[in-house]
Amino acid sequence: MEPQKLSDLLTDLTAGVMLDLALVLAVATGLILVVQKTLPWLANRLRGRRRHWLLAMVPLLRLMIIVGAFLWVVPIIIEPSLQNMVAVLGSLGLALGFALKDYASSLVAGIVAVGEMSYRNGDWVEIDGIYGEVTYVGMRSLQLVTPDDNLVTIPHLKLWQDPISNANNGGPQLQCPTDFHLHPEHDGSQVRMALHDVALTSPYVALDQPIVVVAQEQPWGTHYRLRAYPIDARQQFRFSTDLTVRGKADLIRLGIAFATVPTFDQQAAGGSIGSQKS
Amino acid sequence: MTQQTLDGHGCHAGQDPGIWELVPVADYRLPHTPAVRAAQARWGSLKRLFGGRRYQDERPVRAEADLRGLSEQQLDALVAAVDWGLGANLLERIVGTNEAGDAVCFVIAPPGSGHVDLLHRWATEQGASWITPPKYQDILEAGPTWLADWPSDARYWVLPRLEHCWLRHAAGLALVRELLDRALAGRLGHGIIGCDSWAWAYFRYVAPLPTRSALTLQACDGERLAALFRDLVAQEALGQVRFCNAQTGKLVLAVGGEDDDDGGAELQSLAAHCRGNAGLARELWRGRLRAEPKAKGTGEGAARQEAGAAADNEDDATTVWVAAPPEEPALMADGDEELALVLHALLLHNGLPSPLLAELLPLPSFRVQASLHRLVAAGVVAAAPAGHCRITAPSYPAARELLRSQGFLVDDF
Repeated sequence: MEPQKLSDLLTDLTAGVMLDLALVLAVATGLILVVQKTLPWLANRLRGRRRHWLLAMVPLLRLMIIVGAFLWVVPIIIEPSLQNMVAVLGSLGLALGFALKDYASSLVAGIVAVGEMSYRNGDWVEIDGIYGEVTYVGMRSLQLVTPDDNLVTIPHLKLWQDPISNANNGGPQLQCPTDFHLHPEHDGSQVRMALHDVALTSPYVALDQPIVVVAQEQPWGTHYRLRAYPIDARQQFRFSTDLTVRGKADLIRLGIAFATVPTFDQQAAGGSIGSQKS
Repeated sequence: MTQQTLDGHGCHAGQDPGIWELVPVADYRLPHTPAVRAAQARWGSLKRLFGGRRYQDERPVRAEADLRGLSEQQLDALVAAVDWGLGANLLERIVGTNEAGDAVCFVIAPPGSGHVDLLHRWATEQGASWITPPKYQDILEAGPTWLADWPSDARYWVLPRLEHCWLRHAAGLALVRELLDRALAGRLGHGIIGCDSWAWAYFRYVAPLPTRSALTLQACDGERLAALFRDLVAQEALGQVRFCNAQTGKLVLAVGGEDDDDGGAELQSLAAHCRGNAGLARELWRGRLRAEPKAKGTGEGAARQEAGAAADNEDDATTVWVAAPPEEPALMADGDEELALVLHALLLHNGLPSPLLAELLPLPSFRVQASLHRLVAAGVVAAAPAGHCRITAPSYPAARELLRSQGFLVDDF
């Protein structure tokens, strides 16, 4: 496109036009800041579904503000005709596609993530082996806080190629599986009942969610997995610790032995590779 | 056990409606909140959400600082203990007409409602065996001794506190499961089991529970509360009594006079705040009564003045001021998880000794003690000298709301 014709497409950037642009940008930026500050602040004073709903609204509202501002700005800069729009936006898209391919891809993925709700603020997700709570969903990337309190920034680009595991999917509750490895010689029904009661009596348990004990026989003994839900997703590590500590105490009280790794001496003495009574 | 609803009749002839009514648990109906009070409550919770402080909107008719509190004796004259005679009669009619032939009848009630006193009255009148709950150590060991010592004669028995027969511990459910199994199968003979509503809500996840034979006292609305409070005034000693709101000066309740009290909304609001729990409403009402500061007299007249009298020259009625409800302790609005765990454990067990509380919670003992100290200092929990901790009546509605908002299991009442 020749420079002279490009200038024909654009409106004259007079002081009035510049003022309009500045005003729109200022209003949009202000609104985004208000949304990003107030909604998480308010959400953190609430619990359960209302907290997650408010947190999930942040990126959605921001996207709406940006789209609104963009639609407002374009007719101010460009002479509003279909031909002009197609010409300018097409050129812009081409430039972005070549020069800022990954950046543009992340931006598009960010819009898709907001629409598909693959992750929202407050969700507990695992992306590329990193597990944590989503604390911020931006236009280009999202931020997770891991259980070790590390802040990890991940571009939305991952959405195209990596699986995203979402533990609570917008809800306040997520499942916490807790494992117990027991010596094979025991009464399975007794263990199942005991583990069920361990979960039932945890102060963190969400009683309206199911409590399930899954048993699987292994060469070294029996693997039990206790599946239950805490009241709030943020309690998951305290909950699984409570289940582990109290489950262990109760199994010891019942005289149930745990599976252990055999020592070298036991193997040398002809003991099979398997579990030994602790 | 019959499913019929039996209406009780008030203490006064022709009193309408009856104060006590025993209904199936599913038929419990919460009293409605007056629209203005509901809006005020919503506005209050919104202000708390945004960290706002409470402030007095109106200048009170009687500044509370100018009023004086009443002694226990004075309060006893104005708000006596509930006479459970009529309630016991109702229970006897239901137990006596046991049409379905259930071996055991359950009486479920929210904390502080007085159902244990009702059962005690019935047991005394009927000569039934009164069964004390097992020791905590026996619950954890699930020893057969306590159940083996169950009375074997043909008399009815009463187990008033099922909530004291279990612990929220992996080893604390076996005994209550065995007890319920035997009781529902009729292997323990005929009896009545009383249970706190919080433990009952939890037991739904522990063992099969009856629905048909589980009864409760119907919720008290404003009208029933007015009838109850009138009954509790020692009218012979005090004569006419007028209860007036210290904030607005309006008459809340008139006893023994010709006054038409206009306190329907006030008492309805109290009933809604207490979720129909008459015992709790009585405690809160008792705690709000104040009197004019008066010079001390002697004799019978002094007794009236002692009861908070501000004798009106025209109708010679005693005026008692009703102060504003106590403010919710600030720490209840914090949403502290450890405080919530302590409160929930106390409510599920209807009180616990503090050392045992530390055993049941997944927190270090010193942190449980620290939380308890905070709650005791704020007046939310009362600790008996023996170390038994319990949530105080004025704090119960706020504690329930806190736990509900945080997603904990709450009762149905």
